[in-house]
Amino acid sequence: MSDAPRLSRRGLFRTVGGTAVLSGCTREGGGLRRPAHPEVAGPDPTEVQLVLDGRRVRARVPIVRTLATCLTEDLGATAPKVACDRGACGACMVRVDGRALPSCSLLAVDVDGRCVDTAAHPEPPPLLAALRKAFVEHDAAQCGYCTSGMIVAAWDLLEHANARADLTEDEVRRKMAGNLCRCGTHRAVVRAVLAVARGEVTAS
Amino acid sequence: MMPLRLVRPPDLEAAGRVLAEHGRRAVVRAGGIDLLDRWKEGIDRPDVVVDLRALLAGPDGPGLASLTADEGHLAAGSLVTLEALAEAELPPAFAAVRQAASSAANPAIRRMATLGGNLLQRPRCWYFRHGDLVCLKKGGARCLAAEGRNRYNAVLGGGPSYIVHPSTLATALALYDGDVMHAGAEDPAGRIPLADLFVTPDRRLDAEHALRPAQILTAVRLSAPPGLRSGYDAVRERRLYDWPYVEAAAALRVEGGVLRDVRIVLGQVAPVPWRARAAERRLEGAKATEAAFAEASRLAFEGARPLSDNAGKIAVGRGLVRRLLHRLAEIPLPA
Amino acid sequence: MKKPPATIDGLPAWGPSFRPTVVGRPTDRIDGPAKVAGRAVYTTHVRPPGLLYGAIVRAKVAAGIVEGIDLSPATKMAGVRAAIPLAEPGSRIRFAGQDLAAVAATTPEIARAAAAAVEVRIAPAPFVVDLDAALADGAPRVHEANVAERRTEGDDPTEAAAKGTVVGNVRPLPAFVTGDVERALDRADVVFDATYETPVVTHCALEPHALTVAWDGDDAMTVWASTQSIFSVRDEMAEVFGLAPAKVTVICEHLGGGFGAKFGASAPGSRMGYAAGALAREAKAPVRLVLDRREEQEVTGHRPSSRQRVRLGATRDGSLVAIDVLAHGSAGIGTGAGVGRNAAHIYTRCPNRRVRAHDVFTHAGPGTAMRAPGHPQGAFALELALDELAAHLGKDPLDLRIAHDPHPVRRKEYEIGRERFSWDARRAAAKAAREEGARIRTGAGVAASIWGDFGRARVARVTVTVARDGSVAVRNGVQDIGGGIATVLAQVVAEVLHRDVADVTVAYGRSTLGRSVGSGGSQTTSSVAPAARVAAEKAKQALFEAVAEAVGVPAAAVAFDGPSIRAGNRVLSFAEACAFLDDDGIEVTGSRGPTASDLPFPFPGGGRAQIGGVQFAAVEVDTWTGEVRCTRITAVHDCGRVMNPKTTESQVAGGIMMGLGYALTEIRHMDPTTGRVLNADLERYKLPGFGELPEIDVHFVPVDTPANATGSVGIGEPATIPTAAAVACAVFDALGVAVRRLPITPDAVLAALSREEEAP
Repeated sequence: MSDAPRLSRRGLFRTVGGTAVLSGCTREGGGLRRPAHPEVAGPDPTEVQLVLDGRRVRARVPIVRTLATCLTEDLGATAPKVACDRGACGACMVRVDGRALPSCSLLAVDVDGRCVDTAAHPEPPPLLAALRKAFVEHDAAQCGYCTSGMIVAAWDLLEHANARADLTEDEVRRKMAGNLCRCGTHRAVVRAVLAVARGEVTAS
Repeated sequence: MMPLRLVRPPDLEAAGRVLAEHGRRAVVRAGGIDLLDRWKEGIDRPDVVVDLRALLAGPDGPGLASLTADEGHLAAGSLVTLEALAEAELPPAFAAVRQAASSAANPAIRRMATLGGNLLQRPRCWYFRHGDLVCLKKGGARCLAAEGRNRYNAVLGGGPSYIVHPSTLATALALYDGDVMHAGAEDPAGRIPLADLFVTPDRRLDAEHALRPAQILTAVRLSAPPGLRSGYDAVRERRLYDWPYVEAAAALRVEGGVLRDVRIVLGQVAPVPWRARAAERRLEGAKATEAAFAEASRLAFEGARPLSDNAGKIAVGRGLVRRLLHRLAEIPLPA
Repeated sequence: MKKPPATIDGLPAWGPSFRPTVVGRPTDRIDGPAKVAGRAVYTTHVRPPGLLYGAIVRAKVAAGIVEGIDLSPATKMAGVRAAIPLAEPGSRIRFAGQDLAAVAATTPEIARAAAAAVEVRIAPAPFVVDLDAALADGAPRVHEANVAERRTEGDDPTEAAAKGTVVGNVRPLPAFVTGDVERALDRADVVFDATYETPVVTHCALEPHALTVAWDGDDAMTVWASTQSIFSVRDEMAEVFGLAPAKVTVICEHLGGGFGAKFGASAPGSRMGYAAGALAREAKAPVRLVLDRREEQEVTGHRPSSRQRVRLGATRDGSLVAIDVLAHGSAGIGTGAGVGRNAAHIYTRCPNRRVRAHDVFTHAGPGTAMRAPGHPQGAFALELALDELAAHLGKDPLDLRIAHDPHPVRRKEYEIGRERFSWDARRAAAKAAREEGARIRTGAGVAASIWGDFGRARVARVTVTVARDGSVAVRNGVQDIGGGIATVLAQVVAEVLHRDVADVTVAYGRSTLGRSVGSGGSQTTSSVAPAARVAAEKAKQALFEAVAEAVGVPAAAVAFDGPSIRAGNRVLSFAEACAFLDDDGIEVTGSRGPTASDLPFPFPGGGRAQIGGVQFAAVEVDTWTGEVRCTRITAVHDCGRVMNPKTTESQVAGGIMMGLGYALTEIRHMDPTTGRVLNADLERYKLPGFGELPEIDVHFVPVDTPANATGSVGIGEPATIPTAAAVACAVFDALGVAVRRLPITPDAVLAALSREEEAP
């Protein structure tokens, strides 16, 4: 079982753990209360607190409200878009504690006490800022409805790439495969992501 | 409005208690993707959802999230994500598991989806998923696919329902001997053989597995003979990110120039992961040759009975199995 | 070739000698920064105070008579603010998804639950959703009487209206006939005869149909709409609610795609405009209606299906003598299952040509114009038939096309493509692999497009302002569908006024900013850009006059000198010049004039320029599994003067991706037993993705068109016309046997191969 120690800690706590480290958060949710994980939530609406794009916010939501609906309707977020509402298109993608997830496939109550970052972060970290620039330069947004999700997916992919500068076109395609686009920006998206990976476009 | 309670139990025992108390009005939630889809479609509206992710913060968390492997064994907690499986450095015997996990759904879904949830997800048959239609599995009189549009339905092992099992991971896991561990109020440390986990519709229509509603899948343990190599491949209509049209997993080892411990599993062709036993028999003890693989790939679909729209799965599946066997046995593919 | 006129709309033509500094340069789209930063607000995200959420109750059966609708279970629910019927007892149901009622509530979840709670009684009736069943004797009739055609700005304006009578479920579209096809086929050395099929595919804009209505008193409203035509929304809402058009303000700041399905306030199969307006009136609060993906797939339009029997007659030496297409297709309850113009109007050196198309009505939501209505269907059938014939004759299919297509631009495009794509080498490699029976095959194919410059005269009114502080702005009520028209507006004004693009403020996406055209039929650029030039030239003139007066020189002595203005012997910066303006500055409006009548390459019917395009496709096919991968598309197109190569190339690349979906992945599955769409989602309805992306090589052939004052022509539609056809031809080249039905899925490839093996 030589691999055991390494494998056993891998991935999971960062991604689904209730006590997840705020590793990818672009701003620490310092002072945010840790959720008490009430034994039972619902059937009455429940309050959630989160750090959205670096700001502490709260909303009172029914249990069945998706994170996507909460973000756009309760909190006025403009970046996530609900296009399929089934986690199949990526347009609603946001980062939860630093990892990209489809916000239509999460409940708002799932992110209580978490950090949620969208493509609209007002103080973009360098990778996000670089991606924005690269997407404009390579014309990777046409109608723009898929773009926020594309950028979040690309942000995740670049941040977690093992060797960013060596990222291949094939890897970019595979990692971006959950993001659909009807205008057909795929070629430009791949070029933009690779341009950032290779340092051809930077934040400054 | 819509009464729903989300219960976040501190440990498995509490989870089991809640499930036992509410019976069929309660469901467990792991990654929660399929559950939310079904909720949105109106085909599954439980009163109580037991959120297993809450367990990660408690005493049972480490076990549910652990993934360990050596040359001959793999043990995975049911809350291990597909992403974790896809990124794990598994030994060659379990390469099929990693390959299957890394090709399922899309990267973000794999990040949320869990091993347990993936194995126990409900079918993707478009009649089952349609909120306005009542198919056999939802209490209707007939399998609507049998007489309707069935491009993606079963060619093997169907009847009276013709769903295919949706789990890509299950296709790979069915290559191995192993056990499924489960918890719950009745039997807190139960286990069943992996081979008995999935059940055909002639035995059960309300679920695709043998677990009872109050039982919680907690882990899967696999074993493999020394020297086994394995692989997974699929044909998709959309090349990256699609439910496979047909998928296949295979395992074998080469001993003294002949093939041993050959297993071939077909996915998306039957209501359960489908062992292609005739093909396995043809190859067991045989030399790895182009001709043997061609014949085995024909035998893989022995007994297939296509419906009106899905005969194509047989031809495509044969080519897929043949290609996979070549790669696995390192017999060069023709140009 | 005729000599183009020297002046257009009273302005010197931007002819071959014109050396632009802004127009024609790759320019970042001006709305890009807002889109990439997630700040761009789409209709789905507009939240006026007090917003309510609407939902529509829809028929679950494909045919029947409404017996009763009881809204009370919905209105009793807490949070429900309004409920209205959209059908009444006796209303006929003609497709599953048809409007029955609508509700508005304080949350989206309550609205959906309330819609589900409305009780509807429908006496079901027999229905028919597939083509063969609809054509059969005794099939249930979809329409009892003749059908009114629904046309939008997405349709080809030169297409004649269908006047034929409905017989059973079939109604003929206007036929095209030249020469005597039957006689030519009788006398031909070789007759090729095959039938081709294309599926229903859907527009699938990622932003669903969405509309928010806020009443401003009883006689005015503000409408936020996800629309390809702001003014069609305004006019429809004004008409439906009896308002003066000026009292309806329509806003579409950013538009998440359309592709033909978003004209008017209502979706093709749903009275969204009325529903949102009536709910808002009843609730006395703004109401937002956003359709979900099921509704998008079931009721908001689609590209009709087709079944086309193609007969080609040829001489033994390879001269085409007859092209005959007999087509039937279904747009559901709607009209417009035509097959475009490839068969009728490209290979015009073939003297005998006939195209007869028919609408076959079925109990499905209505089809509507989708990116080049009819053309991708027709291109697929005809172009693949040409390749099959060429193979039969032992001719190179590219040579066969060039021999029969007199259009000088397309002929040049074929030759450019032949080089860029390495046509001859690819064809030779495909032949070798085919002959040796290789497992992995490659193939090469080519197909053509024909489209017109449908730019409209005197519709778009563009206003340019120059303020005393030197600031320049341009405004027009056009929506930017993603084609980049807002950027083109800035470019044209910047060009004329010698500014940088960044110096020009653009206001668009609002009906109060001046009449404009819809974004359909590739008409936007050639309607709006020339209007902008006319306005900008007027502004320049007014500025020069002010400078002349202030400096004391004749106006003719004022001219731009780079970014500066020279007046006699004085040189002024732009800002210094503007300081001579009075407090009101300059505000001038322009519109483009009619298209010159003596065009070098007219579109059929005359009066419009014809544009051509060709695309070459390379594929790789695994003959064991049937998997097809398109590895390269070389696209060579004409769109007059390219205003912004960056966005134009994006639009072509996007048209290619859409064409690849049509070729390989997309089909709407309809259940014959329940009349429901089975894959009304984005999982089983398969948009092409990153795995389908080939190498894309886009090349524009500059054509000096005198059609308008900028020489610009749209490209949205032609970009997608030939793609699927070229891919199908390439698959034929790889296999030696054609897959005559789209999409070309792995099973279809293997079925075609096995048919060939079985053949004697």
